[in-house]
Amino acid sequence: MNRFPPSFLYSWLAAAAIFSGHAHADGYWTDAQGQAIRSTDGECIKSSFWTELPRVPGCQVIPVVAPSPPPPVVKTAKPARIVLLPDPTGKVGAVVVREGKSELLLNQAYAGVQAALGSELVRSMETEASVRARYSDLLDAISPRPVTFVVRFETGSATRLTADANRVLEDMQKVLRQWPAPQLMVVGHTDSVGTVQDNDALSLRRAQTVSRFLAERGIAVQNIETAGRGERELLVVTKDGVADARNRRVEITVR
Amino acid sequence: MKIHFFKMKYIQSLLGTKPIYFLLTSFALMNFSCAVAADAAGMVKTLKGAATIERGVSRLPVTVGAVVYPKDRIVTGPQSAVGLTLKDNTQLTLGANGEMDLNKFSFNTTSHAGELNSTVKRGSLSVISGKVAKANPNAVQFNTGTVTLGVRGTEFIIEAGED
Repeated sequence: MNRFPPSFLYSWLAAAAIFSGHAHADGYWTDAQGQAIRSTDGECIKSSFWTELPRVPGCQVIPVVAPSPPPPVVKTAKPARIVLLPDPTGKVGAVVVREGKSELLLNQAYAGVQAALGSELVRSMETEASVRARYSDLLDAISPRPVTFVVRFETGSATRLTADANRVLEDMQKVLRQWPAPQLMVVGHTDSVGTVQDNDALSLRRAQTVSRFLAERGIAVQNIETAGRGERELLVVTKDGVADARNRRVEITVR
Repeated sequence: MKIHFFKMKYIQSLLGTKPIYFLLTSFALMNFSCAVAADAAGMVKTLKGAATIERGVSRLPVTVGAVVYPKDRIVTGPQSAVGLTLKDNTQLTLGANGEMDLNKFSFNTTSHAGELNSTVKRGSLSVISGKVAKANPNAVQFNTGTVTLGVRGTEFIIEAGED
């Protein structure tokens, strides 16, 4: 004889364990405390005794499950901003601002753009005061604007500076004393007489002359860089082959 | 042969990887040393508060006179600002809580050919463009997370947005 109960008894026990409630004549499954057992949707689970009449309080109204709020739309909380400024002489350049396929040109003083992620570029108009108010700490930290000093050479010479060169260099040294971490760019120039290659070489020799002169005056050599621009940057634009003393110069830029 | 094999295994165990990765690592280190050996782009001229230059794995405190190289990242703290002047006279100033990558910079002192590319990741950057922008405006570009700026000269401020 089999010592175990018949198998249908197991399935009945399993069902009882799953529901762990009672099928009440009230029409809904209830737990041991008499509370209606609800589905995950919040609906009372009907028993086979269910009728239209409300028997268990609350079961006729399906509790409203608050729909989960849609994920917040990712928007730039703070748009990127661009603002064009005039230079100290009032001159204004231009900036082209691109975002995806849209493009805006800024070419007026204090013209601005705001760009939020995924939105159109929006023009804005700032003023000197509004820029000052928003960016004063930034503007106050700008490095000193590079200053250029010009010395000239006696005609045809790459070694003899004109008489006024000493005064120019004295002015420069006054500026240097106030400058944070000064660096010098010494750039030689020629007039348009001669070939480009010859003028490149001559302009570099002129720059080297000046740079030696500066080193003799106690300016640290590692802060001096020399270059020759040849006839690429005529101070006074002339036709090719024109001798002009104003173009034979060395520009020393303190930066 | 066996000894050689053993040595290879030993090296691998030290590196914890395969020989091919060892080679790749060597190349990466070579590139890194090239980046450091590149010409200086500019120098720090003004400093307010505290700021850091991130160069490869190095974190260097910013000082006036500190040299800035292409690929450097500059990070500023609260109430801080850093003013740089690049070799072509471009003046870049990064305001408080800022982060700026100097992605590319080159400048030929004879021809004025060159390139400048920078990304403002956080904070505000004031730009006064220099000789590269004057000689070849298309070679100068600034970016934020949202926009790209082509520079046709002179002065402007870029403020990065926040998500």
